[in-house]
Amino acid sequence: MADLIPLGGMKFSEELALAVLSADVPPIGAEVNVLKALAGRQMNLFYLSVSRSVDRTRVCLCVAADQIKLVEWLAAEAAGGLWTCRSVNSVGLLTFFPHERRLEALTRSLKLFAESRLPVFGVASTLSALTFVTAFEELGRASQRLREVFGLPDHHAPFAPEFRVKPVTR
Amino acid sequence: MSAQKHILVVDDDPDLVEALAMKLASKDFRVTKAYDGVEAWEKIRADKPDLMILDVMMPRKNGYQLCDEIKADPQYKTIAVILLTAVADAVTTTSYTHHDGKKTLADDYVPKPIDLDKLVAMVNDNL
Repeated sequence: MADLIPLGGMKFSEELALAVLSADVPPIGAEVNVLKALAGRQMNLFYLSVSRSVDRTRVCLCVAADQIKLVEWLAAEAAGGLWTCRSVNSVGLLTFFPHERRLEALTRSLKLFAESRLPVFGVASTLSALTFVTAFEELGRASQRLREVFGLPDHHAPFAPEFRVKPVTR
Repeated sequence: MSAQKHILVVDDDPDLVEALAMKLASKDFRVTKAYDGVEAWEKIRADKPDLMILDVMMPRKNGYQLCDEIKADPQYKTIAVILLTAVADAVTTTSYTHHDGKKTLADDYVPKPIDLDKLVAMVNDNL
């Protein structure tokens, strides 16, 4: 059995919804307009990835579960009908850190998600963290399986959100 | 030549911890990292830092609690503490504002978003 990869911690998000916006051959910067529309509504984006190929741009984002209808509306109306929106309810983010730039942290965890038949709706790497978008109800099972690959500090329980920052409307 | 100063960075945002650690290491500080208040205490007891950069909003034990405990402990009260306050003062429903942070016994306070060069200057001022 391969050695455990040491980690500092793991955390879960609250229950979220995923929106996947796709557009064929959009004008340069079209995704910025979508993001500006979301920012104008002061929406928190818990996860965001943008991919652009020659003929297609895809924006994946996670918002609070009660805001997904607004994202769908903004994608359909405010952004000029450029985007098609596919949404997935009840997703969660599983984030672990620090990855210390070890590529095997990504490859071994992806292999484990596949072997466990855990859905992966998105993956993103940042300076220190690796985040998977999976089914909210599977977060516990996913974290248990990941302990076969990663070594966490003693007595570590994945952090769940204890607070949520929301804009105050006056 | 003076000994390398030891900084403990504590925040539940791993990317911010890494960014701060990289910046401080580039200025020849020795840096250790913790991701919540409980883990920070373990790191302090294992290897006492000269200064801590401490977030206020954290799971398990927040920055205010940890700061109070450090400043009340004769063995550790000399550790300089710089608090990172994250939420704008305009958000009236939280107790994690810059204004709230100033009520603690911390040695200095930095509101997020952080200017890394100013933070390094503040670290030097508090050592």
